[in-house]
Amino acid sequence: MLPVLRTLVSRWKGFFSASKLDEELAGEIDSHLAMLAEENVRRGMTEDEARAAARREFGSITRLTERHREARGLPRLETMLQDLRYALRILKKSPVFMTVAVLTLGFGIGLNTTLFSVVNTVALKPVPVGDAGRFLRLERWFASGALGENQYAFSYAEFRYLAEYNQGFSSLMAASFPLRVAVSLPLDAPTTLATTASLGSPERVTAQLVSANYFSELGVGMALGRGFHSDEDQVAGANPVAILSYPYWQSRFGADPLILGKVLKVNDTAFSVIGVTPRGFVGTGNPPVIPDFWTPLSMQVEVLPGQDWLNQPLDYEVQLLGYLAPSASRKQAQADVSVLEKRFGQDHPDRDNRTIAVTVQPVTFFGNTEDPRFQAIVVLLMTIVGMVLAIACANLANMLLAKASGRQNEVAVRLALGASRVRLVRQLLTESVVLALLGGVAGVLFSLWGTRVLWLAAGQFAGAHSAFVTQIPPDGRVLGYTLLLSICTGVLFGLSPALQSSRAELTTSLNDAGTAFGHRLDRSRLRGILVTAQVTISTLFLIVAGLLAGGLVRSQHVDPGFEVRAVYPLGLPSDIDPVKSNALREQEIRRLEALPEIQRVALTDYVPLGGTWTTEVDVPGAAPGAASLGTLARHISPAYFDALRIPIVRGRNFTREEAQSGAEVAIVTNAFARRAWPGHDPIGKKIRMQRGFREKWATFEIVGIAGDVRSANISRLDPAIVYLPARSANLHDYWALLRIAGDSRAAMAAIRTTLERIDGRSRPGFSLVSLEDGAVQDEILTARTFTFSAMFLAGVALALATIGVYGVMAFLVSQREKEIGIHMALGANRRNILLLMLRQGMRPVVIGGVLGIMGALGVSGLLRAILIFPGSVDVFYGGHWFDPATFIGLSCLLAGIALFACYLPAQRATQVDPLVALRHE
Amino acid sequence: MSTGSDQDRSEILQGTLDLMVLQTLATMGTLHGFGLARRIEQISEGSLELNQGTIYVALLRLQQKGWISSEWGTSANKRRAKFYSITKAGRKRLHEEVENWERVSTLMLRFLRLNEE
Repeated sequence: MLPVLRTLVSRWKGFFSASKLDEELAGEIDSHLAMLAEENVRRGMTEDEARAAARREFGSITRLTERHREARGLPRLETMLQDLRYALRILKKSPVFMTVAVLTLGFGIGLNTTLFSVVNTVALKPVPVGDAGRFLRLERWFASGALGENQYAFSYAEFRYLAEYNQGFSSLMAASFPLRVAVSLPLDAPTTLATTASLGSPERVTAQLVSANYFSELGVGMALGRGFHSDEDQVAGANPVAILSYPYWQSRFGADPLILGKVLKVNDTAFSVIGVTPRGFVGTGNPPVIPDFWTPLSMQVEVLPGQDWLNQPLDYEVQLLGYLAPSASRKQAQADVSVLEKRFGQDHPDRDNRTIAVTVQPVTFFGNTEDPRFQAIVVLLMTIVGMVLAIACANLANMLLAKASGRQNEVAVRLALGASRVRLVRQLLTESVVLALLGGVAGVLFSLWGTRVLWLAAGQFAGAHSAFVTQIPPDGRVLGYTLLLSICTGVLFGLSPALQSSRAELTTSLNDAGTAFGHRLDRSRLRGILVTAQVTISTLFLIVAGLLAGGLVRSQHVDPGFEVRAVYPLGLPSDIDPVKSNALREQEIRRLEALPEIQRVALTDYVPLGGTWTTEVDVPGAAPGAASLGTLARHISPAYFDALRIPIVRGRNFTREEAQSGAEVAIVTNAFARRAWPGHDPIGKKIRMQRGFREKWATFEIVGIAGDVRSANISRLDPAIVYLPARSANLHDYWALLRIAGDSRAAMAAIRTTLERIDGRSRPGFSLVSLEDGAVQDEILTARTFTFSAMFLAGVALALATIGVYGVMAFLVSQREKEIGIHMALGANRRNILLLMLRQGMRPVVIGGVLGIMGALGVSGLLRAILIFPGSVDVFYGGHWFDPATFIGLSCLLAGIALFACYLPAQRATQVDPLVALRHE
Repeated sequence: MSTGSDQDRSEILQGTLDLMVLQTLATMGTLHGFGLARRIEQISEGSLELNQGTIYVALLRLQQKGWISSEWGTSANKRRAKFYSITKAGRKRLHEEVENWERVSTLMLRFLRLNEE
């Protein structure tokens, strides 16, 4: 063992003192030879003979030096360094190529890295808390099969029940979903609980209600102050304490070291700040938002007036998180809580929403990452982005091939001098890998910038939640991924040229006769197919992006068909007692109606642009094909049409009595009537449908026709709506729509006063958002995001395709120099050559363009076909699915760019001097 | 390029050459490269055909393994040369190898004599 180790150490030392050792050896050899020569002279030879004989007897000096060197350093490392130095030298010789290559690669790798980085932070990495491996989130499964965020919502009563009786978890915590609350902050020095004078105006922040063991179980040590005591969530309303998040403390309080003890006023109650979480704590996610402050669940009524979580066993409001007990497995814990949940369900049956099972899953910041839909989207995105990179590699391979053909001589000489093919391939590959690593560095820089942009965009998009995670620090995993990706990329695009180059046949190369004259056709066909594919994809993306952009422009001027600027939705108050609740609401409606600032108060169970109820409607005696329609429906008060300024084109509105009694009458839209009874008067006809969501079926008589609107979303006219009269017996699900005249601020103040007087709760930050500012803007924002992403992708595809076309053209030109020389010698002029090359280069482009157009037709036709259900979004905003201007215009644009990309190298082809070309490469 | 069997042969040759160097240094003390090569030739009485240069690779290997040490000095003819001597570890190794060779050769001889009979 020891000698091996010593050898290694010695070799290591030898690597670093290579030149010194070389000198020493040379010295030794010299004296050896001299001594030999001396001996020979003594034997009687002449000086020259002596020296020559000495040399002979000694043997080959070069061979000795080689073997000495091999034995002494770290040969593999040395050859790698050699390759590296050579590669850098070669790359420096063609700076333009290097820049283009590094940028292309940087872009492709950066895109992949960005996506991976985001997915890693948000979905893959477990939440940064202690012992994340045993940290789980509970998920419930409903008999109705409903999916979504509500699968993570449990009631406070369930929390207490499960916490007490479970055997699978060593601890269970409850955390609400992030809540938007209005908070008034102190303007200066600490205030006591009594004064209000030095509080600023209210602002909206994100709060989270948690059980008292939340921070202690997560093992979070506070940066300032303390966590919650274990008894601070026992008595309702008794502990008005708050813990701030680090980012909130930094941004809003300027990292004030004296923050402890200061007061936050939430609605009516003063909360005292008792701690600040550490810098790295981001909460437990789902949704991926860092709350601004935390407070115990016992303070729920103060934070959210009008709700009563602590006493409503079926009010599902909190997420349940817990640490697996050391002795239990996930399966056991799951089975245990499922059984407990069933038992709870027996004591507190939930008729509408029976839970059939509870499962557990690891806690990630994003939430449910085991949802196959989410995983499918991630895989799809990564595949798309991976393909972008693959295309970039293919392009680079082409460009490298073009360059490599100019190095045939060098390769042939090296082979002739005894280099092994393996060594040659390795050296060529080193060049590619160096290029790729440089691209990787560029990629990391791109991705740092890219993730920031992406996150800002997403943060805008998320809208309601302010505290989006604002930085994604480059993770070790991400950097490792980038490195791996770079190396694979380098090998991928470098392999083909490297293998091809090293196969050069010695004699033909050295005789300058080895060209691509009659070059293998299958290779060039592959290249042609690749370019065609790139052009197809580019055309497709470009056209789709163009259609979307057209839609976006149209969306700015869309008329929803009803009033959006002056209409404000308002949620009605509620109370524990349903009778008292109804009375409160009726009182509120009456008082609001009386306000001079409010022109109309309407009621509806589905706010326009705020959700839909789609149901089956049977139309007896209707035209064939219209017998059973999927239709949007809602319950409304008679003031609805007037409030939203929707005209009633035939028949009449509901009467007050019909609304009170819930009579079986209905009003339908024009579109519905045209579809169901084309050419007939719909008034008096009957339809059959359910009275409400999951209620009994009944027959309704049509009494009026209303104008068409876009109430599901603003991108398309609703195909059909049925309006049913609101039933005042149960106002539980209704929203009020207020049409406000004139200045909204005066109206807001009036509404606020009215509401405060009704239930006595103060609403410092009260304000309403009109339909236009809220729902409409949201939709336009969505459309904008969608469109810009498509345009971005199209741009990327176009850039790559252009580079691809250029690369192939350059390669073709380099291969066919001799042929061009012959053409010119035989009398072809520059123009003929140019046309010849252009024709060949543009052929795959034209094919690709045509395929791309067909593909775009297919995609837009498909979109139109599948998105035709009521309430779906028309992504093109009414644009024709085959819009000749877009299709043809963009195709021509692409063709023009491709032509330019072809032209540049083709132009170079015409500069070929026939004499030079014919003589050698 | 050497073929497979050539390489094997040269490795065996290397191993025995190393041993010869160690033995020579052990008995003759400190020598420089030239002197060492000469001595080995003398002892083998010319039956060993060796390019003198190859000794330097052997010396490098032995140095790397720590069985010999080297020092620059001046020869009898006032020439600058590197002088090599065996180390304690080298002596130990030599001793082990000698025992090994004796054992192997006795065994082989017994077998071969057996065949003759």
